[in-house]
Amino acid sequence: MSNEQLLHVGCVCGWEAVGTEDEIVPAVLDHGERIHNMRGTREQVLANAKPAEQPASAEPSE
Amino acid sequence: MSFPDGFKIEGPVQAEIFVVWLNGDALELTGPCGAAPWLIELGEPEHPVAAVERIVRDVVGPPVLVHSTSWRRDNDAVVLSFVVVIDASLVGDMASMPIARSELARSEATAAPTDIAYQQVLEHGLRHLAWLATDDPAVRDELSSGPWQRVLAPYIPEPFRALG
Repeated sequence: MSNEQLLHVGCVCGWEAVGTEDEIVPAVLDHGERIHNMRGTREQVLANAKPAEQPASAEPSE
Repeated sequence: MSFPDGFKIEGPVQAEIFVVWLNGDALELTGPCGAAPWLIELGEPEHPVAAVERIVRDVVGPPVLVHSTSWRRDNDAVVLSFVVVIDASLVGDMASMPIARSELARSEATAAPTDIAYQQVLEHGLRHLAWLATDDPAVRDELSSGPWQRVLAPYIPEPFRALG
């Protein structure tokens, strides 16, 4: 099991992702582009991701 | 893209999509964001109707109908509202809820309503769809199967209009 910090990002539509940096960035960028026609950057995702409060699954969740 | 408290939809022109379908004789609201309005950014050079059709097709599946039904100013943007009809077979595991009737948001004679709930936008959208179902041959044809005409009959037909 990895000790890497888990991060959390939520969308205004209710979608949420929890995972490591390398898991959460592509998940958020994919959600933004595929569902909301928005394009962003890794830096934008990470600048606003918050530490996940619960050490639950490391898998991005929809 | 911004992420103040999670990310929100930006851009000067946005689409608010109401994905509706018939669950038996009941109109229901669904979508990839649940039983709620689905917001997308719109930009150049794609036509708004083409953008909505493309994204619905990619995410949900081929729509039966895509129609813009109103517009308003909200979220620091011009928001174009769309009613999108899908076949029941496309709902899958998306959350879905019956659509309740709602009072319309009414404008002043020369001013927009100050507050508009999404249920009011959807109510107007379905009234617009009811109007198209009798006035527009293409829409009438698409909604000729099943109980669509009967389900839409209680909605007082209304043309496109600005809500805000």
